[in-house]
Amino acid sequence: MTSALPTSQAALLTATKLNKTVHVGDQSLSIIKDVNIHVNAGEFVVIMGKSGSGKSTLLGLLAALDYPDSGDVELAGQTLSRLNEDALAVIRQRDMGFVFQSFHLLPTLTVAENIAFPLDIARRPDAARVDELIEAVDLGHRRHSLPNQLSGGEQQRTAVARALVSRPKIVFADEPTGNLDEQNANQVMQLLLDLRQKTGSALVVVTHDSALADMADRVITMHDGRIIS
Amino acid sequence: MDNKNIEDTSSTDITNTTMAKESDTSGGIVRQLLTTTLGLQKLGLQGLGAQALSRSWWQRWIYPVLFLLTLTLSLATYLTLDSIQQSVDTYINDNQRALVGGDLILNSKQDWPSEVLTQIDTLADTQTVFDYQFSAMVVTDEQTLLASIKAVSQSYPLYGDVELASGQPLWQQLTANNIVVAPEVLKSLNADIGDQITIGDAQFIISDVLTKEPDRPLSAFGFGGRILMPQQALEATNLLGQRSRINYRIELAGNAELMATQRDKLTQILTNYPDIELSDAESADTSVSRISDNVLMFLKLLVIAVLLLSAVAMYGVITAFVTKQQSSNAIRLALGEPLKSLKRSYYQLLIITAIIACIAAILVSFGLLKVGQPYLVAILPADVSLAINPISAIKTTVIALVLTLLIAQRGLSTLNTTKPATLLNQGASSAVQHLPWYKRLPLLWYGLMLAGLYVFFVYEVGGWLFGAQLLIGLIGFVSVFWLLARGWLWLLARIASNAKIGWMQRIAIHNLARKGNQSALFFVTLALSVAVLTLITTLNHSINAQFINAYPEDAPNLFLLDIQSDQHDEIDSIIGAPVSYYPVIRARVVTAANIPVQDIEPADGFDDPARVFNLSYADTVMDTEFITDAVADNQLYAPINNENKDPASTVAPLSILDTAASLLNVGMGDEVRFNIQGIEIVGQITSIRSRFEQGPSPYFYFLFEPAVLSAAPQIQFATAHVNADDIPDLQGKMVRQFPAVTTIDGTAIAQQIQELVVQMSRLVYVFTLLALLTGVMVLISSLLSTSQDRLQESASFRLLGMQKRDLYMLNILELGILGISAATFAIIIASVGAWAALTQWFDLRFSVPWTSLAIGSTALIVLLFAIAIIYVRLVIGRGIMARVRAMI
Repeated sequence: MTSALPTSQAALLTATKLNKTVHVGDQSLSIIKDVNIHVNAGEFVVIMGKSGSGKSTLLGLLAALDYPDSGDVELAGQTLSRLNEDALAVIRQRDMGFVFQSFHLLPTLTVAENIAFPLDIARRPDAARVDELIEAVDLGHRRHSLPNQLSGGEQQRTAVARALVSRPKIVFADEPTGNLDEQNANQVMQLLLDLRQKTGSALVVVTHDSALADMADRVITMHDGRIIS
Repeated sequence: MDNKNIEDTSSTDITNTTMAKESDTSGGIVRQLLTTTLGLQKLGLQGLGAQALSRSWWQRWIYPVLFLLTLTLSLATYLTLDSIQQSVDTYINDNQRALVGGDLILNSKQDWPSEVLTQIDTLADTQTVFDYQFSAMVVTDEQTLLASIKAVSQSYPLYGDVELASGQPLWQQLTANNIVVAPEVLKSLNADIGDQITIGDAQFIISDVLTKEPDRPLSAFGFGGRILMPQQALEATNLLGQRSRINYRIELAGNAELMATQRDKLTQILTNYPDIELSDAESADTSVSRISDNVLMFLKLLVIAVLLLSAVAMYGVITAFVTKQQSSNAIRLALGEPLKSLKRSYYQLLIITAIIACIAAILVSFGLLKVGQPYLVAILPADVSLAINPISAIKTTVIALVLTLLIAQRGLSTLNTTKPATLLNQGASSAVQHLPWYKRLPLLWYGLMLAGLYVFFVYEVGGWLFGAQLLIGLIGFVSVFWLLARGWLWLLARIASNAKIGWMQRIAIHNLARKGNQSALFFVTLALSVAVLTLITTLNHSINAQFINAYPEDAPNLFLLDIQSDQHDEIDSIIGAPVSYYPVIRARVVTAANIPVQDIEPADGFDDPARVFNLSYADTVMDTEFITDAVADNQLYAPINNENKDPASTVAPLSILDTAASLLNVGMGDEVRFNIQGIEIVGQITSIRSRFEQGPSPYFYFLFEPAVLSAAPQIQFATAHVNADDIPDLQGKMVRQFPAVTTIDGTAIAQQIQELVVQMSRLVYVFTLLALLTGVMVLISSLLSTSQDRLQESASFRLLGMQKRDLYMLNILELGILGISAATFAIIIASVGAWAALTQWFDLRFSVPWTSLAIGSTALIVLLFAIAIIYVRLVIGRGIMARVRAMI
C-alpha cells in the first residue's frame, strides 16, 4: 500500500557513506558499512532486515541520536554529523519526532504532559495543539492518567501524539508496533499515518512487519550493515 | 483480549508497575505526604522535564529519605556543636574577667614577698582581692569530707556575681564565724544551714548555700565541693602554714591605664621571683576555655568526619537515583532537551532537598540541645545558655549547599555519557570510551574538594598548619583504607576465578565487582567508622583495665598529705595498718650534665624540665621499682670521691628514674644540679631505676641518701592499704586529731575519674555511631543503584529453578563478605593503632576489649543480615515474577 501523499523530489534527509563501529569487550564490530540513503520530504520509508542487520543503529544515526564514525547526515541542508550536542538538541526539538517500540513515555508525567513535552522544552507551549492531538488519538478521557495506568496501545498512541505535536519535518519510528497486538498495531499505524499526513512530516520506520512495508512509499532492506535493496 | 498489552513486560512497565505498587505500601503514604507538602517546590521549578524528575524523586521515597536522613543528621550535629561552641565563646568573652577574677592576676604556690605586697598596697582595697585556695578535710559531728576551701578578702568578687540560695549579699553571710558552702558539701556532710563545721582548728556556722561562683563554673573537674570563707578567718584554722598545695592568688581590677602601670611595675619586681605568674584577663586560661577548646574541638572533628561520610552517602544516593533515571534521562535528551537543562533540573531538585535538610537540621538541633545538655554538664558551665546560634545556622546552610553542589557535580557526571541511542533496539552495546586515566579522573573536581576541605579545616581549627596536618592525616587515613579495599576486592576476584570454591561464593564475589555496586566505597565507609569505634573502645578499655579494674588488691587506697615528721607514731596508731611515709622536697633543676635547664630539649618532648620536681630520700628501692643500671651492683648509691673539693662543690650520689633520665638527656655518671629554696645541691647519677608498672603507687624521679636531704625543708605524704569500709571512719579520726593532714580515699578518686571518662566516651560514641549509620546508608544506596541488575539476575536464577532460600543466601553472602571483611580489617588496623598509641605514646598497657568487640561484631553481622533479607524481600521479591514472565 502506498501513501496518498505526493512526495517531493527534493531530499529532506540525506546520509552519505555512513560507517559505524562498536566495541564489545576486546572486539570491534562494524555495524554500518558504507550506507547511502535519502528520504524525501513527506515520504514514508520503511527499513527492514533481520535482527542484527543494523536497522536500529542506522535509525539512530539518521535521527542524530548518535554520531557516525565516518560519513555525513544532512537534514534540510544542514550537516548533522558536524553539530555539537546542544545544536543537535535544537534540531531534535524542532524538526524531529520519535516513536519507540517500548513507548518510552516519561513515567511521572500524565498523558497531556507527555504530549506537551516537546513543545515545553522548545519553549513553545501550545495548549490548543496538545488538546487537538489528545483528541486525535482518542485519549481525551485519559489525559490525566500516568503511563502505568494505560494499556500498551494507549501508551503508543500517546507516543505518536508526542512525536507529532511540534509538527516535525521527519518522524523516526523504531518498531512502533513491536509490543502491540495486531488490532492495536493497526490502529496505531493508521493514526501515525493519518496524523503525519496532516503535518506533512516524512516518516522513517524500522520494522519486521511486512504489512507496514506494504504501506510504505519505499522499502529499504538491510543485511549485515549494508543496504541491499 | 489485550492480555499482551495489559501484561506489558518491558522494563519500563515493570518499573511503572513497581512504582504503582509502591503506592499501596506505607512508603506510598510517605510519598503522598511528601508530594503534598512539597507541592510548594513546584514554584521554584520550571519545565515539564524538571517536574517529571521531581515527581520521580519524591515518589521513589527511599532516595529523598536517605538523602535527607544522612544530610540532616550530620548537619544537625554540626549545628548543635557549633552553636555550643559559639555559646561558650560568647560566655567566656562576656565573663572573661569574672571567670579569671580580675584584670590582672598573680598566681603563686607560696606566700607573697614583701615587694609584691608593697606594690599591691598602692591600689585601693576595693581594687584588690587576696584569694587562698586549698583542699582540706572538714568535719561535722557525723561526717568528714575533703572540700575545696577558698578564703577571700572583702572586695571579692571584683567581677561577676556570687549568688547564694537565700538571695542575700555575700558579705552579709560571710563573717569571721560564718561560711557558705556548695550544695554538694551540705549533702555529703548531711548538714543543714545553721550547723557547725570544723575546718582545721576553727569552728564555723554554715550560714548559706553557694549557688553560683563566677570563677569556678565547672564542677566535674574539681575535687571537693566549695567552701567559701573570709580571709580573716583563715588564721584561726591554723592551716595556712602547714599546707603544701596552697594556691595563692591576687586579683586586681582597674582602668586600662592603671592596670598597664601595675603590670609594668609587677613585671619588674617578678624578675626576682620566677615562680610567681602574672597574667591578665585576656591571656589567663580558664578551665572553661581549656575544656571548650579541647573537648568541643575533638567532638567537632568527629562531626566533620561524619559530615564527610554523609557526603559519601549522598553521592551514593545521587548516583543510584541517576542510574534509576537512565531511561527518562535518555528520553528527555532524545526529544531534544539540552543536556544543560537536564542537569539544571537535577541541581534544582537537590538544592531544594538540601534546603529542606537544613530546616530539618535546625529543628533536630533544637531537640539535641535540649536532650544533650545534661550530658554536657561536665564540660559546660551550668549557667551558659545554649541556643541555636544564627551564625552557626548560616554556616550550616552554606556547608549544606556547597557540599550538595560539589557532590551533585560528581554524581551527575554520568549524565555526560547518557546516550539517547540506548532507547533504540540495538544489537550491540554502545561503545565504551577508552579514555586514558588522566582524562577519566575528574582532577579539577578533586582539586576543588581538597581546596574546599582545607579552607574548612583551617576555619574550624584556626591554624594553617594544623589545618594542613588534619587534611593530610585525613587523606592518609582514607587512602590506606581505599588501597586496602581495592587490594582486597582484587584478591577476592582472583580467588574466585582460580580457586575451587562453590558457585554461589563465586557469584557473590563476582557481584562485588558489579558496575555501580560501590563496593569499595561501602568498604571504606564501614571500615573507617568501625576503626574509629574500635580505637575509642580499645583506648577506653585499656585505661580502665590499667587504672580502674586492675587496681591491685593490696595497692594503697588511703593517701595522707602534709604530714609532719613528729606525727608518725600517732598516725600509725590511728590507721592501724602499715603506713609508708615519703618525704617530699620541692626543687628545680638548674643544670643537667652541665647544660642549663632552659636549654634542654627533652627526648620525649612532653614534659617541662624547668618545672618544680619532688625530690625524696630513701635507703632502699621501692617494691614497685627495680634498678636497671648501677655503679655498684644493684645498689641505689655508690661512694663519690669529694676529696679536695670545697664543701660548696660537694657531689652526692643520686638515683634517677629512667623517664627522668630521658627527660633531662642524662645517663650514668652525669651530674644534675638542683635548687632547693635557694640552696643548691649536686647529684651524680649512680643508678637508674625503672618501674614495674604504671599504677597508683607513688614514685620519685630523684632519690638521694637520707643523710643528704633529711634536714631539708620538706613535707611528707603517706600511703596505706586499709579496709575500704573503714576509710570514712579513719578520715574522721585523722581530721579530728590532725586538722592539717588531708586524707584521700584512693578508690573514690579513681571512681570519680572513671565516671568522667565514661561521660566523655559516651559523647564520642554517639558521634561515632552516627558515622556507622552513615556507612549503612552508603550500603543501602549502593543496593538501590544496582537493584535492576540484581532483579534481572535473580529472575534468571529463578527461571533456572533456584530456590528462594538460595536467592537470599546469595545476597547475604555478598553483603556478608564485604561487610565482615571491612569490619575485620578495620578492627585489626584500629587495634594496631591503639596498641601503638597506648604503648609508645601514653606508656600504658594494651588490653583487648574482647566482650565489646564480640558484641559489636555480632551487632554488625545481624545488621548486614537484616539489610540483606529486607532488601531481597522488598526489592527482589516483589518484581521478580514479572521479570521472570518477561523472560519467557
